[in-house]
Amino acid sequence: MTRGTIKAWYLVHKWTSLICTAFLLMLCVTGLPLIFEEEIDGWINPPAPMVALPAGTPSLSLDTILARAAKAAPGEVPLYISFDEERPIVYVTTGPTPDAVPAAMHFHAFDARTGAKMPPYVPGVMAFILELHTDMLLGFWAEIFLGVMGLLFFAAIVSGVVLYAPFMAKLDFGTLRRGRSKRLGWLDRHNLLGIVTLVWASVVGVTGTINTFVVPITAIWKANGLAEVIASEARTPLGPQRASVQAALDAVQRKAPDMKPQFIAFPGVVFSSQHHYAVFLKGATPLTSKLLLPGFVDAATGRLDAVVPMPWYMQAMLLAQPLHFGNYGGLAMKIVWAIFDILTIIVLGSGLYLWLRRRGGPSDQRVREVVMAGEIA
Amino acid sequence: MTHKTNRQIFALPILLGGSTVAGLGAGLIGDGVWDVGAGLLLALPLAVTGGYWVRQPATQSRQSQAPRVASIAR
Repeated sequence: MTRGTIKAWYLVHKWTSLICTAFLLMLCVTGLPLIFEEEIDGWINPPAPMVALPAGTPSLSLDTILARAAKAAPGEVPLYISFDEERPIVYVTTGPTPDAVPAAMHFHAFDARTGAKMPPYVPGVMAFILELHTDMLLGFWAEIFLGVMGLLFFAAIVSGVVLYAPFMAKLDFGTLRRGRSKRLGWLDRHNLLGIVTLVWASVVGVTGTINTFVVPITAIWKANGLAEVIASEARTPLGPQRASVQAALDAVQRKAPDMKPQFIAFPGVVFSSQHHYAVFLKGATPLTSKLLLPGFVDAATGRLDAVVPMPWYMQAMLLAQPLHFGNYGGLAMKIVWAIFDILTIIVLGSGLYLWLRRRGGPSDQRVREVVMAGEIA
Repeated sequence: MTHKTNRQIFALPILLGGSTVAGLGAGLIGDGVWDVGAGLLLALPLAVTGGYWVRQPATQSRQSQAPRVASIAR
């Protein structure tokens, strides 16, 4: 590598890092408790007990559940129905209008077998931390902004790996020079921790960026991939009459009997069209459970219009979610996630320290530092 | 005091990165034994790092061998 090349990569590393570090530190710090969101939520807000009924007690029709939700939220429209993964609980989300913002939505839980109302979900401290982590409470564009910060973080990782080669040309892996200057010690730690967290940080960073683009990616899919569904948009507006939601779910499930319902989106919400119940089924194995198959049922007539496998970019987006959250491999994986997260905080913090404590002089000085493994006396 | 090749520099990082990738994938494939394997594969880079972190520095002479001038620097 020539000095010019090293200098170019150094400048990429410096500027991408300087711009994204403050935001990445915020993301790592808020992300740390979010790894254990399930455990912390379960501890703060223990799940309500359910009546014991014989195994195999059939579930009520979703239409019955919806009627109960309508009574619980007068004047609101249903937006989503979703299903608990472990217990026979059906969740109904309602809102004033189909395009209501999440803050205006209401969340109702029902025992799927008896229709009894369960204690409502109260967004607590974890929901607040999640909002901070997602968009700093500043909405859509702030979320996209954080996605761009994720891309800069990835560029900082790549340029850091490139600089690792000339820096380590004469050092053994894991060299930590002790008893020398404090800055040299942190330079070595920054390099060691940076190179071992590289894959994890890249995966979590890039999947985090992908997660910030859920709304636009979904919009692209709706515009391009759902031709049949879009064609139906030209029909007359949906009147007040509604077909059975339970029948809609049954119709889609007949097309994919091995799959289980994940959620149902009502007409007008982001995951549906203006005319349809969008029934999303998921696979029954750990891998396929991340991949969804949507079926679109005319909400007025109950006719099954289309079952459309998702395009690769939607599948990639869905697979990105567990890879970002680290919630798919049990407690051991969560602990690993937390340690990687803390190491990443140290990499970010030491990077900032190294820059603040740099010796004066032009950036050529930093290039010298890279090629001489920090040994600039 | 020769330059290491890229292969030497990146051998261990690639191994640890591969372990991380395999761990991330194994967790997605299945539950139970797959999750245990995922945890172990993901913990390997952390364990190796911990080993280097707490390792006592080798002899003083080794430190003095740190490069003063790299040929590339001129």
